[in-house]
Amino acid sequence: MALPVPDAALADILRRLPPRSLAAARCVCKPWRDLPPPPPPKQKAKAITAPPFCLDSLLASLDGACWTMEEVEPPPPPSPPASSMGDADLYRLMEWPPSPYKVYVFSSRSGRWEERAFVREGGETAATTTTVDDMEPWECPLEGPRQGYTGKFIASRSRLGPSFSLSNDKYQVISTPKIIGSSNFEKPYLGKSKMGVSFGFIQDLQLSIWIIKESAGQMEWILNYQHDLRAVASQVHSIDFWGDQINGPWILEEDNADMHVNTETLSDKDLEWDSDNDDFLATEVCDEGHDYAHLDMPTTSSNLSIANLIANSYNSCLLYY
Amino acid sequence: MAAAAAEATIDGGGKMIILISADGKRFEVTEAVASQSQLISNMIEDDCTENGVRLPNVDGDILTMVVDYCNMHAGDAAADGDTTKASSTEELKKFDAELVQALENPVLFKLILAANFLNIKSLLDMTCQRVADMMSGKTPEQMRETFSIENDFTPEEEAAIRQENAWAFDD
Repeated sequence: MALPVPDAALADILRRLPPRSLAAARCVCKPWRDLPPPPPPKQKAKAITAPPFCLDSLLASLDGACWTMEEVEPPPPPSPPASSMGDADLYRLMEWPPSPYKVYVFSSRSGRWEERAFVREGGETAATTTTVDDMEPWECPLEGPRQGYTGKFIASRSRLGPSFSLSNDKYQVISTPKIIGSSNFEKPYLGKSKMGVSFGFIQDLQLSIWIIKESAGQMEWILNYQHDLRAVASQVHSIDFWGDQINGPWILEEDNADMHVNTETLSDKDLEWDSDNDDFLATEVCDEGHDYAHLDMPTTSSNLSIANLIANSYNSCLLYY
Repeated sequence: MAAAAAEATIDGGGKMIILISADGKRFEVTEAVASQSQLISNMIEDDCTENGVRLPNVDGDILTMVVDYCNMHAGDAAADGDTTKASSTEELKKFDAELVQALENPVLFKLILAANFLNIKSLLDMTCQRVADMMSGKTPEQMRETFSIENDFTPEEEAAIRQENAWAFDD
């Protein structure tokens, strides 16, 4: 016996060691070498299997279960008329996003997923508070971690969304450049390009694209591009189909062979953009992988919200839906 | 000591239990104190503590420490929400830290043995953590030295296991 303690106690001791020290301990003597490896900590296992940044399930589940699963401290429910409301109603009225807001971020430095809690920075008025009810489930595939990707948007139907900063564990709520109308057919899109995070919107056959600029901690939308789509409207199915409004998300990729509902490509517009502004959108976004180049945002209410996760000073990125 | 004495009650407390160490030293403690040992707690439940509890593998000096520890911690196990306990929590931490820090290795290991045998989880946690802290960040050679562990590997075996865990030796 290497230490005059029972095996169970020795296992208990080794289990408390950090990984490197445990590896070193295995080189000390045969009995230590031959000990079975300690079981992985339960908490870690849960963190790996739990969907990182499970916004989807957060939104999909209105029964409050997600709050517990994510160990997010639920924001205080609104005061009256709380007594007459059920849990589901209370949940819907919770402010979104909560503060602190826990998301999983993938650190390319440590090679691991880490849970980070972000605290809201700055205030917003009651009139613009976004609640869970303003959010709605939206479909984007869960993808693996992406090294070096610097930003991520999430969207809701409401006016405001968070902007995360990994450097100070805070997030801000920023508004969209345009208040989206209540029409189902006014569809905004988020994307990322060489120039940064972009927000596109088609209204009255006018395509407008904004780029987000950050200065002195303030997020600001700059109108970057406007184009009259009337010339191409007849050739683009989704515009033509709805008369004057676009229906599907645009995908900034050159391969337009695979067209189906909700993923139709607007190659005509790509060409337009390329010719008018040749470093914009199409090329860089494709480099990132087309799955990441677009996001469809639900717009059945009058508001729209964007969350911008910016990993600016960290060598890490955020996993996202 | 008469069996009756072991069952004597004190003011406001439960029955008294007599613990008898390997070298015959006797310790009189309340049930609440002794019950922190799961072993003794089970014996109390089974009503077999009347003639004192013999602990043939715990020396008197070690049992002294265990009883001190249990006396100190009897309150927090009860968790009665008493606000005066707030300050004593700090005291407890200090007491615990001083207890384990001061121990020579052989005594520390004996305390682990006793905590393991008596099944006193918090004491076992604390002592195992102390050993882990002493190992943490050390090389295999330093660990052997710290705990006087003999290197029983053949050179080939040692090379193999070091190779397997080579990542731990990188800087």
